[in-house]
Amino acid sequence: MQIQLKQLCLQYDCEGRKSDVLQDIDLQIGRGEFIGIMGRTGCGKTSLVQLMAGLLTPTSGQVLIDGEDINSRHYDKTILRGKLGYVFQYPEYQLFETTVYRDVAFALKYSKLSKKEVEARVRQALEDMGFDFAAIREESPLALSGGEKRRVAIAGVLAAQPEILILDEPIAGLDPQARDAFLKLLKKLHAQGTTILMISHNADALADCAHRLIVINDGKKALDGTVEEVFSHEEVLSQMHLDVSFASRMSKKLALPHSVTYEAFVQNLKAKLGGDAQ
Amino acid sequence: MNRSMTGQYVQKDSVLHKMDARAKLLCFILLLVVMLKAKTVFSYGLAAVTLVAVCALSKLSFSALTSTLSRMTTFLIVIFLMNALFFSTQEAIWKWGIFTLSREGIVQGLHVVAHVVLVLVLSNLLTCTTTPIELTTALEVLLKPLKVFRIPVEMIALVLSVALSFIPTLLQEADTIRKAQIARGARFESRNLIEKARSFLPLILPIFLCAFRRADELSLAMEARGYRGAAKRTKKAKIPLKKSDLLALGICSCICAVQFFL
Ligand SMILES: Nc1ncnc2c1ncn2[C@@H]1O[C@H](COP(=O)(O)OP(=O)(O)O)[C@@H](O)[C@H]1O
Ligand SMILES: [Mg+2]
Repeated sequence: MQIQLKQLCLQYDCEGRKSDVLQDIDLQIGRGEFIGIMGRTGCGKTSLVQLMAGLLTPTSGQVLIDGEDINSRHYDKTILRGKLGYVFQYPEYQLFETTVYRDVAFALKYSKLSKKEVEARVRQALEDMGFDFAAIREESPLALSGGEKRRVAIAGVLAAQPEILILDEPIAGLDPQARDAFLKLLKKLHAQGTTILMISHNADALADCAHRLIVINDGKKALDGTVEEVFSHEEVLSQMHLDVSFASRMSKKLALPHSVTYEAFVQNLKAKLGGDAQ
Repeated sequence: MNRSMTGQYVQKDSVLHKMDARAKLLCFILLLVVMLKAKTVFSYGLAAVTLVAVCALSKLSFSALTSTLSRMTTFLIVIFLMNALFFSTQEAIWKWGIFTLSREGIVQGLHVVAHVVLVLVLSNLLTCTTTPIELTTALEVLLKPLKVFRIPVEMIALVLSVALSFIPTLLQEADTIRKAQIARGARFESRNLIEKARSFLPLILPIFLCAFRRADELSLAMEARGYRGAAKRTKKAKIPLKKSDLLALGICSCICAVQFFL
């Protein structure tokens, strides 16, 4: 297992009143999984992934990455930084360098790569995010549009070529075309072996990309399974103020075999219509 | 890394919380004088006893009362050393280059540190028991006489209340940006001084940008809702001070007077 959470608890201490943000989370995540994380606002999704990334320290419990406790005193966090990429919600606000090139290369500053290798990585990351490398490299990142800024910021994380990629609501607020291009890129990275964890409220996007879904409710793990399994609990999810994907809802309404992705739904529908016609 | 914020309003049910903000602000100024006037053993005693009594009245936890202090430890040490090592005197205990260590120097350093500690705890008490809105309204009332001198009191009050209400938001954003840069491999713990200063650039710049963006958005929003500078504002009903507030003012004045004789 690449990531293991054991009895993980997180409390915030607000002036004596302790508030439990996460309680007793146990989780095992294997290498190369593509996991979607769902849950209503404030349920603790961001806190959960920040614990995995070592950006928060748990009140109790352990986070093991490749078998090592990342909060142990002997653990060198720079190893984790090299392994794990984290795309924050609204990453566009973390840009600060004078040019796009320098900002994307920031994550590689402490790596032992040669100048040429750094350039190749930056180029790859920017092109992956849909930019024309030559045109964008000397631009000021602060002068770009909101969507472009976000893509530059994500390129800055991808340039480090992390083994584990965590994304906190990366597609909220993207236009449909940028969103589809981004999801396609995630699928490509996943095919290349990257472990991906994506927080999203977009059930269709999760059904399209993820293989496993984890649903957090009130700081506890409520559901964990394949997308098909989780979306078959439509009532439970709606009690937690969550949606299933369009395909899942429609296939139930039309009494078709349960499917979660749009493609599968269309196929089932065609099969049914074709069957009726004969 | 999961710190809660310091010096911010903490909801509690205490006399200090219920006190009228105008009276509280006046008492604060009186007690500030008490703290800063402390020179002898007795006057320090009076200042300390007063402060402890007010702390007890506030019902705040020990950590809330001292949180600002614990963050300022380095600052306190630095001002102590500055005072102790640069006090010019003939009777040096120890001399090395520009540094002279003397009894007077050490005594002065201790005085300064003690005053800063007393004032910090006192200010913390004020901001932890009064909401920003109450505080700025009280300030506006107390500064009103200055209007005679054409000082834009309402404007100042507005600026203050906006600034105060943005502190939590900005702190939170600063925290997010810090985490984001750490996740990108930023290292804030470099030993080399120039390197260290440079390494804060990824932090400072986005925080400033954030602040400006917020200010920009707010000014737009205010204009959109028809705010037009120092137009005359309608008055709120005047609430007279309660007996307990007057009592508190009386006690604080007495303590202040006593301090002048100690
Ligand atoms: N710095 C903090 N101090 C106190 N409480 C916090 C802090 N950050 C988050 N919380 C609380 O933790 C809970 C979970 O937050 P979060 O993980 O951001 O949820 P989500 O990402 O699912 O919307 C929320 O109720 C929030 O109020
Ligand atoms: Mg969140």
